[in-house]
Amino acid sequence: MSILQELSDLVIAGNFMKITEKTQEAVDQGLSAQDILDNGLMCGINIIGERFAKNEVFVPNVLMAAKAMNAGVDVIKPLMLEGGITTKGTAVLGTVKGDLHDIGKNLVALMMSSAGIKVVDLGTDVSSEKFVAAVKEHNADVIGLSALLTTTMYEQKNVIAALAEAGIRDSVKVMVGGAPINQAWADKIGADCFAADAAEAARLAKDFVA
Amino acid sequence: MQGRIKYNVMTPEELELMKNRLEDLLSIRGIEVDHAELVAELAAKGAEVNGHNVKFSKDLIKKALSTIPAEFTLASPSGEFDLKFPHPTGDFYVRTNTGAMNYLDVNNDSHYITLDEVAEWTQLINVMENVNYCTLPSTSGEEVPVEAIDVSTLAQVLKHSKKHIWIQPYETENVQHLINIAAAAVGGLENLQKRPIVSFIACGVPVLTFKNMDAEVIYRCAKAGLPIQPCSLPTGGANTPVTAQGTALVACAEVMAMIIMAQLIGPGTPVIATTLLFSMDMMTTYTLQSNTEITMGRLICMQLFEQGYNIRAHSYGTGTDSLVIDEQNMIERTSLIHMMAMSDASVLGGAGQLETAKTISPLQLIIDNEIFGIARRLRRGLEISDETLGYNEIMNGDDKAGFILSEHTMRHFTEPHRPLMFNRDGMAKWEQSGKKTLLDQALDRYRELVAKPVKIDLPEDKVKAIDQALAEAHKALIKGGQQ
Repeated sequence: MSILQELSDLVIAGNFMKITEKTQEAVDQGLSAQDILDNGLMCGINIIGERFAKNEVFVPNVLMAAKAMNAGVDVIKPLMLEGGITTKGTAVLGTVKGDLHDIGKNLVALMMSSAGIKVVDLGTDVSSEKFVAAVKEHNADVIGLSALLTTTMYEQKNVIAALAEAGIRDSVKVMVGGAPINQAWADKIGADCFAADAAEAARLAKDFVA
Repeated sequence: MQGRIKYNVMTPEELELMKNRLEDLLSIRGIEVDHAELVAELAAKGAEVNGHNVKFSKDLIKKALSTIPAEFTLASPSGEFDLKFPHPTGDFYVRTNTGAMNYLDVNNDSHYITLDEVAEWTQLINVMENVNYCTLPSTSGEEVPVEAIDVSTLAQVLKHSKKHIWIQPYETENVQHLINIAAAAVGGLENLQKRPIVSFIACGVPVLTFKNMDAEVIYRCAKAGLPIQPCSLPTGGANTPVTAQGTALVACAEVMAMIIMAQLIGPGTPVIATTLLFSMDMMTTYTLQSNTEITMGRLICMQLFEQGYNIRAHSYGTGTDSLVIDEQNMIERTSLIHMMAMSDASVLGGAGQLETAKTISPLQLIIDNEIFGIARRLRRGLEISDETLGYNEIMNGDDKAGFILSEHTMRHFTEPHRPLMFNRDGMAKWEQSGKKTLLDQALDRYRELVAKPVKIDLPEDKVKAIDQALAEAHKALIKGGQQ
C-alpha cells in the first residue's frame, strides 16, 4: 500500500493519533505538500464526505476524519505556505444578538471546517456591528446567521440591513438557519440561502466559495 | 399513592450512584450563575462562591431540600381545575406543548402562530378532559412586537384560560412584567401568591450554566413565593454525553441546582423538577425527542426525583419527531405516553405537539386527549380481590347463562375505559356512518368545540387590569415606543 493510500485510510478511520507520524514519514520520503494534501489527506476526507452523503457514516465519523486531516495538514503547513497553497474560502459564523443557543452553529462550524473552509466563529449573542466588522476584517465569502428563537430571528434581518448599510452586502453570501427559520423567511429577509442542517450549510458554503 | 404498574429503570444501587454523582457535581464542579444579586444571596446562605461559580456542600443541599413543601397547589383561574401535588389518587397531570412557533391548522397549513390561534388553542384546552394545564405558545413576531411576545401571549391566554398557566419568559426584563400581568388578572400580587394561577419555567444551559434571564426567574419567583418548574433541556451527544444516562445526570443536576437556589432564596417555594431530554441524531444532526434511549433517560430522571428525593417530577409524556400527523407520529407518541405513564412522573407534558415540539396542532391535541385517557387508566392498574376476580360467581357456577346478566357484571361493566373517538363498531355500521377515521372524528370534535368556544368569564375590571399591565410592559420593553 502506498503511503498516500495509508494517509487516506487514516483520515477515513479518524486516526488523528497516528496521522502526524505518517504525514511526517511522507514528507521525509520527499513527497510534495501538494501531493500529500490532494492525493492523501483530501482523498480520505472526500471519501468520507461521499459516504456521509449516502448515509453510510455518521457525523462523528466526519468530524473525526476532519480532525485527523487537520493533524496531517499541521505537519505540511510550513511547506504549503512556501508553496502558496491556500484554504478554500472564509465563512464568518455566529448566533445573532439576544440568542445564546449554539449547538447548531457549532456543528455548522465543524462541518464547514471539515469541508476545508476557514471558519471565523464569533460565538453567541453577536451584534450586527460585530458581524459587519468580522466580514470586513476576514474578507469573508460567506456569513452564517443562526437563531433559535422567534424573538431573535428578526435579528437576522437586522444583520443583512447592516451589511447593506456598510456597503458589503453584495460581496458576501448570507446563509440563515435555526429552529424557526425556513426558506420563506430567508426569502423574506433577503438572505441568499437557508440551510436546514449543518451538512447542508457546509455543502452550500462549499458551492459559494468554489 | 403512585400507580400500581411501575417501570423502575434503575436498581436501588444505581439510584444511589446517581444521587451521589449528582451531589458530587454540585459540590465539587459547581454551577455558573450570571446574576450578581442571586449569587450574593447564595453566598450569604452558605454557598461557596468564586466569581460566577457557585458550589453547594452536601449539607447545604440537604438543608435546602428540607424546605421543599410536601404539598402545594397550582391554582386555576376559574377555580375549577386546581392541581394538588402530590396528586390525591396517584394520577399524573398533563400539560400542553410550550414554546412552539408553528400552528398546523385543520386545513393542513403550517404557519407562525397568530394571537387568534392562541385564543383558539387555549379555549380547546379548557374542554380537554385529560389536559390539566396550558403553556404559552410562541406568538409570531409579525403579530405582536418581538420584544413583547411572551407578555402579549400571556395576556391573551389569561383572557381565555380556565386552567393553570405555565410561563416561559424570553427576556430578563420581561420576567417582572409577566408576574405583574398575572397578578393583574387576580387582583394583585398577594392574591397571586395565595392562589398561583401561573408557574414559571427557568432553564439551565448545559452543562450547569444559568444565564441571567433564568437566574432572574428563579430569583424573582423565589422572592415572590411563586411556583417554579425548573427545567433542563439537554441534547445528548451535542451539549451532554451521548448516552441517555449521562444526559439524564446533567439534566437532573441542573434541575436540582435550580431547586436548591430557589429553596435557599425562598424556603418553601413550590417546585416541580422538569427534565426534558433530547438527543442529537448522529446522521442528520437534528435534535430528536423520540429516540428510544432518551425516553428511558426520562424514566431515570423521574425515578431519581420522585423516589430518590421525594420531589415531584415532570417530563415529556407525548410528542414526536414526525412533521405531520402520520403513522410515525402515532407510534412514537403512544409508545412515549405509555412508558411515561408507568413512570413516577407527576406531570406529563407536550400535548398537541409535533415536529420535536416546534409545531402545535389542534387535531393532535384532541387525539392526545384520548390517548392520555388510556394512559390514566393504565396507571391505575388492576386490583386483585375476590370481588374483582368474580370469584364467587365462578365458584358457584352462576355462569350457566353467561355473565351478561350477572350482578357482578352490573357492578363493574362501566369500568373499562372507552375512548370517545375510537371505532368500536363493525364494518357494516362503520361504512354506513361515512367510514370515519380517527382523524375525521377529531376534526368533527374540533368543529363542534370551536362552534361553542369555552373561555373564562373574566370580570371587566380584571380584563382592564390585564390590558393596563400589558400596556406598561409594552412601554417598558418595546424599543422605539412601538405598541
